[in-house]
Amino acid sequence: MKNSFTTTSDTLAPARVSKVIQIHPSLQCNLTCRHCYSSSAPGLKGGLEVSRLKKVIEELAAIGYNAISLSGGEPFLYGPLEELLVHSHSLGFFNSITTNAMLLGSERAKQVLKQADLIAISIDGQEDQHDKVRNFNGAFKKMEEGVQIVKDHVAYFGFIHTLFPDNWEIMDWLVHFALRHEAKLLHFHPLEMAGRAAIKLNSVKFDPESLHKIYIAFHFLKDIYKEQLFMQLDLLHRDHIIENPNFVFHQDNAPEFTAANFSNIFKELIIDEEGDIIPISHGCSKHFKIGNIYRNVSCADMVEKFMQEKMEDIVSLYQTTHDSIIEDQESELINWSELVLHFSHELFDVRSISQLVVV
Amino acid sequence: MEKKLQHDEMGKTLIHQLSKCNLPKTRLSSISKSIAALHRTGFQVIDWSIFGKPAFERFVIDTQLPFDKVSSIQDLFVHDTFKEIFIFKKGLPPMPNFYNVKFTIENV
Repeated sequence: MKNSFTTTSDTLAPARVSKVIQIHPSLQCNLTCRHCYSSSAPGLKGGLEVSRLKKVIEELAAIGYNAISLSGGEPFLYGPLEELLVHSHSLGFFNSITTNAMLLGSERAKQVLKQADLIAISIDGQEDQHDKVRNFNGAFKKMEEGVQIVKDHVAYFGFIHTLFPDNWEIMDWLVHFALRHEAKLLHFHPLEMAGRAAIKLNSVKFDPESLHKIYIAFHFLKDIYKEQLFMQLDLLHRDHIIENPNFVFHQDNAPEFTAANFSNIFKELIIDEEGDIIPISHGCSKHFKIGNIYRNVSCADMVEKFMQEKMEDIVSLYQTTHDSIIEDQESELINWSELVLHFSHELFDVRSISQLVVV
Repeated sequence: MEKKLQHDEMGKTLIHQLSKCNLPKTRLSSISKSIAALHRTGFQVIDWSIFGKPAFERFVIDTQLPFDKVSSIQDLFVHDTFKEIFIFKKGLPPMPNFYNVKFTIENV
């Protein structure tokens, strides 16, 4: 039975305060979206061993994590999805899944949905735009059918939209689409140059004017529809970053760099399709790899080692990112996570380090 | 008489205006900066209104500010984008519970 609720903020509170393990169990997908940051596609068989994942999330629960977020690839193509979600629920976790909602018609998918607390459905625009970006005629219609199934089985759901420089004008349409379907979440994410997007869309660039228009339109829509819909935009104003010492572990606000405090420092932890456990975001430099689910080392030991060996580099990474924002006065609206990932590679990839040594 | 747009038409109209009006980057930057400042300094935005015929002669951003954050108002005075700032005390005298602050942006 669906929960009853009064405000969007109340409904999404459990997800928003969570310490999330973002799991990419496989790159297998039924689509080849042009903007895919993980280059997922059909035919990419294989997937992480569920027994390993179950063990790792158990250990991460002891460190403070309390939610998992499944992404991919298309999570509904991951065979043991229900088993994983049942296990995480047994640990008291909040279960979230990001999906294209095209594979939800089967009994198996409906069983899986019963274990989901939040479903985020990808949408790329109106029907023709959605189908074009998804490289699949009929993707939009299938997704809308999936929305109805989600509504029947899951208490909370929403949409996630990748913004392109030439499609931001659709933001109002998306708000009304989400409201019409009684969604509670609408997440706008500017296109990032990662995975397939970096190859197929590398000429696509946001100009500053478009970013300002997105920022203004977003805050307007967010404020006037706040009672009905929780909206998020992955763009921050540089003033906000510069004035907020939490972005760089400023000495007056720095958390204790101890293993016990790990989940407070890294509220999102990623398990990628190779089983690597990394902080910050999918695609972060493997220099910051905390461990791997297939290694016979406990998460507590991995974290302890990471805190001893890598925190200095983490501080340096965040400080460099912060400094670049201060220096570059032209860029006022920033995707903080994308910029951190960029510097994680520029500063810490093996090639960069070896180049520094040669110099 | 000056027309105030209704919520349902506001989003579409705003986006159309931003798309077609060719505002220079400096103006867009100034508006973004002011919106960011409102959120950063603890103002809770209650509503936006768009006035004018045609629209966009004025935006009015209606906010609330907790009593203990009153010094934040001063931070907003430096933003040229805000043509007018109206401040109303709300709550039982002698001390207000919060301030209702209306910010006006002209000629978007």
